[in-house]
Amino acid sequence: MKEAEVVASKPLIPSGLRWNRGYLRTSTVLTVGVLLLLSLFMAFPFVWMLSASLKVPKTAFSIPPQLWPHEWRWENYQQVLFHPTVPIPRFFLNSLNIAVLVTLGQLVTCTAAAYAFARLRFRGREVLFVVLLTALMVPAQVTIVPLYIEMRFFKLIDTHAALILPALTNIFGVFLLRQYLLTIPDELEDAARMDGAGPVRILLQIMLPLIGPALTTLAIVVFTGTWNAFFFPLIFLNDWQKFTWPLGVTMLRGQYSQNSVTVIMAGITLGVAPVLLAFLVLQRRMIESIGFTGGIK
Amino acid sequence: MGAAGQVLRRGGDGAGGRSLRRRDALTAWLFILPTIVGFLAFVIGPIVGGLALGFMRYDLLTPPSFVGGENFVKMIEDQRILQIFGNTIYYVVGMIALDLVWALILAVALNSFIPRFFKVFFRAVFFFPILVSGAVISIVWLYLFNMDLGIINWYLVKLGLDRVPWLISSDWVRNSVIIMTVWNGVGFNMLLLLAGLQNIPVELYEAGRIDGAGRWASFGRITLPMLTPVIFFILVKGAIGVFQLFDSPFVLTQGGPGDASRTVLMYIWERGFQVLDFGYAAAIGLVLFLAILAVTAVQFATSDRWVFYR
Repeated sequence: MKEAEVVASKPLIPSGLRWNRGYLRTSTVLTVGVLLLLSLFMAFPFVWMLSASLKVPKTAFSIPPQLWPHEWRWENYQQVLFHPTVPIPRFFLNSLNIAVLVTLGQLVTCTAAAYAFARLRFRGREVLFVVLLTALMVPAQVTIVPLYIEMRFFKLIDTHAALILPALTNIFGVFLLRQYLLTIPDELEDAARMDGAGPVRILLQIMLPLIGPALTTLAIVVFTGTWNAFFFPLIFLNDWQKFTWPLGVTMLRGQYSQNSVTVIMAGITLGVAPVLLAFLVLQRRMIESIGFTGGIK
Repeated sequence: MGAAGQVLRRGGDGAGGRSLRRRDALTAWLFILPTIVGFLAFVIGPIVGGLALGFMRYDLLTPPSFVGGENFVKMIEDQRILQIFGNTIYYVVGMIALDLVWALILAVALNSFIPRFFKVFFRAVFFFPILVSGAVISIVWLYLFNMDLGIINWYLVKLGLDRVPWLISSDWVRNSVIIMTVWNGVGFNMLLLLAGLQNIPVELYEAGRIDGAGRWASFGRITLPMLTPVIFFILVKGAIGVFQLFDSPFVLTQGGPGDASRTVLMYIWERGFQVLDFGYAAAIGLVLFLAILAVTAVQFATSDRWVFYR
């Protein structure tokens, strides 16, 4: 390869240059090939899961491994949905219930607090905000023992409230929305004030429509985080009927139920499929959201 | 800020301004109230409670009693503590290192000169595992990692290699936990690094080329230094996160064989919620918290030596 070609096909020139056919070069083909291999590895556990969920139990570990089932066993799904001891649909409803309440709660409390910190004036505003930010430094897992004793004191053990109440506000959410609200020009608010609008009306009618993207971001992050949570449900819930989906599905292969791997995989696939569907629809939004939250320092 | 707004918000002069300001302040406190209540009840409360509990003996059944530093003496004498804290440090170092390298490879590959369709497709594939619960997808990995029947070992044998005792050997098990956990979360740091790469001005590379920098030189002298703020963020956030590792080893190994893969949080869970030695569990929690604080402080203190801010 000549020097000029090396320069032309050099990676690291993302912006400004658009892809066109003229640039098809060995290095591009090579990069795509490597990416293909990497993505095979990243996707493989899901492929195996799906494949196993459709197999006859005794062929799940057949040698050589067959990813394409010879005999399609849709009954695995039926079996796991109507499982005699493990109520999978119940787990779904529990998880949905908790995740929706937590998400809605945070959207309300975080928006209100963020608006106050960003746009209202009151004594001690800056100091209070910095004090609240220290919460980001204290991981909740580390204080799990005193939190458990507190919940026990309030008689909330083995209730969904033990999972929902601590998650109804979130300093990170306040921080995220505040950053967004700070970028809205004062003139908008001043004009509304001249017309006699109070803070509540300004928040609802002017600010809310403008911070839509930030609210979506917060909703996606909080919902997926709550939906996937394992540690806190494990600590606070005892009764099967109250289990969330991640907790319940790990119980599928617990000591109480002798399930074949194919049925377990069907149970997991049932939970992963809606996430995948949501991801296919909201892909850009979700990627932006997660990237955005991480980008804030 | 408009002149009218200035008057209105600052309160300015006259009774109208003052009452408006008072109304603003009242609204503000009402708006913040839920967050403050939550903060006091679920952040400050547990911290204070944990501090007290660390010096007590409490098993839920009998009232707590003050025992001074007994829990901390017990920790020093505990034969298992060293192994468990050692595991956690191994995880912190191993996971962050693997995550960083893996995420950097993915990000650089995605940022290279390939058709847009491939970019969107690969980014989606690399990102998706983040959205799936680590505890749940660990069940799938449990079968993939199986020594005799697992598909990973089948491919290894096919390639002419030996079977790896992924989950049953004390020497291997931590690496298996690291591989699974990084696989699950690598998409996040990939996105951060990708954003970082896209923020590097093209002019820098052009200037480098004029000075005769090759591909590797420009990666080492331009790309990496420009990425150091992102890398620093990944190190800080990663350390705080991995110190609290629980889900994946809990499902993959239950901490075994023996204590070979047990993390501090798993031990807190065991001492507290299995054995009901809540004072001891809280004391370990305090030490873990101090460890996290210390590591974060060291990271910040040493950051000005290598983090390059524009």
